[in-house]
Amino acid sequence: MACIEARGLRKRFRDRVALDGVDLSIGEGRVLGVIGPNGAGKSTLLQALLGLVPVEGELRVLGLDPWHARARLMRNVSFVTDVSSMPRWIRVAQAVDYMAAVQPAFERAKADAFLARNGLRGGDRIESLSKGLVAQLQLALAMSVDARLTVLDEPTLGLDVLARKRFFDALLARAEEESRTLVIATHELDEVQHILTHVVVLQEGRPILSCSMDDLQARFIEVAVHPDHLDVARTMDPLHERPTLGGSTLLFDGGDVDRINLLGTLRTPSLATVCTVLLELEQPAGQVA
Amino acid sequence: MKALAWCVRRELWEHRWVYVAPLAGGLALMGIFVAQGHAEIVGYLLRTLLLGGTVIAFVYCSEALHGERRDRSILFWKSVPVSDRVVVLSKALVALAVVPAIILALMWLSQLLARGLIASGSATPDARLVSPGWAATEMLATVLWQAPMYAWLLVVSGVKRRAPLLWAMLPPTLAMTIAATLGVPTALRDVFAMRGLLRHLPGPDALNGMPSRFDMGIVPASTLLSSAALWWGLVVATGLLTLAAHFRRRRAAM
Repeated sequence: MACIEARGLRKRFRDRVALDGVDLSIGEGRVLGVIGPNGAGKSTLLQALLGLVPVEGELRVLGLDPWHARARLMRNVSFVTDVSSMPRWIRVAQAVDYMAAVQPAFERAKADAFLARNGLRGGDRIESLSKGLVAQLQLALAMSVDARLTVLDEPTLGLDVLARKRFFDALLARAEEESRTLVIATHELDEVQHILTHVVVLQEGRPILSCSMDDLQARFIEVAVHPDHLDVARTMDPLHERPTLGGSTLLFDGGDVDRINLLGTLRTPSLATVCTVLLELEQPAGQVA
Repeated sequence: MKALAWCVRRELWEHRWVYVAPLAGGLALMGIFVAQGHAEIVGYLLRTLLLGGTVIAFVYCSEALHGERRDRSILFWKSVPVSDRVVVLSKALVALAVVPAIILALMWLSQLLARGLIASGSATPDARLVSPGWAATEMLATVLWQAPMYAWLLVVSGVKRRAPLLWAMLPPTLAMTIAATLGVPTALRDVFAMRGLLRHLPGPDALNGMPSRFDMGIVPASTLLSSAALWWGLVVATGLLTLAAHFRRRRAAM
């Protein structure tokens, strides 16, 4: 069953377009990465999926219309916002008590284990904690929800190295469980590229790439070309060229694999490479030199 | 129901002053009057308590849906399976049930205290005291009568970006001013002013020295409860609360 079905999502704020024709079809158990520069519409897309923002277009999440059934949808969702949205006045124990009371999928033992591991006391107020610790607490609360859909908006913002590693471990464990769907907006492409099954790259609200990771790996080829072959290689319509040690590395979007193979050593490009190149090529009109 | 109860609890975590202020203020007033030898005044505190409760609920409602948008915590509260209707209802219940319950308890306490003082000879025995049932009826009539005002404050609190209290008071004040210049003040005073604070401001007789009467409202509770205006007001309040829930769904963080 599809967890997320979206067709032609559009969202316009007063002075700018935040989403411009986004289509998604994400099955249960998949892991979707939402990638793009700041202000590309990532948060808007994530919030639209959860019925927090009204959007034009067709949208079904876990079989529900999020805008009209947010409360029902949230029974099976855990969500972390980009900037901490934890109320500053709340005490740690109050936040846990409240979650445990209103979220049927909340597993209190998990949250308590996190508190104990980080030396957090129930009486601590959020405003007395460091930013990083609040970010961790919010993540811990979200990850304590036994949710069918987990939506994370730049979850590692403000985390230290160790917390970040722990988080990605937990994320991987969750991703490996069947029928758990994850949507994650992030700039940390190297960390997530092995977790993702699908990716959508947004630029000013437009999806400039939307495909499965398998398709991405089949479609883009990176090859280190010896200087002698560079002239030939350039005739083969590479997407991008960058100088590297002892030659150049060219990125191809499709093309004749057998011919490209003759140019040098083939590599699967990293997600970061593909995204950076695509975003550079798709510079907003006003910014083209 | 469970979610609603927890939402009310959540409101009291955030706005502790909603119960601390009336309890502290009410008890302090009673204490001061007893200590200064004005024991008979304790019996006259009902109007002050009702007015205090109205002010607290008034300020609370103007803040209730504004604060969560201002500090972005609305995204946190919306990430749990609690509907906007339940949230708005929980906030309305603070003004319509929690504050009135505290005020009523203080009213009962003040009457009990006054009776005790009379029995012990510290106060004049002719002080006219009210029964617990009378106080409860007065509280009930007040709450039902004021419900549309609180609902209106919640709507404005959930819509305006800044100074919701001022925005909430602007339209009624303007309407009253315009009506007064056009020469139809009484009808509008009934609609706006008496729904709010003015119901518990001292009447003309009270301004000429000590309050001499116990009908603290401009309109007695029994008249209010049997008036069609009160029940129409509840219909309006229900509509306004639905509107507030509608806006909460549409408005995210500021």
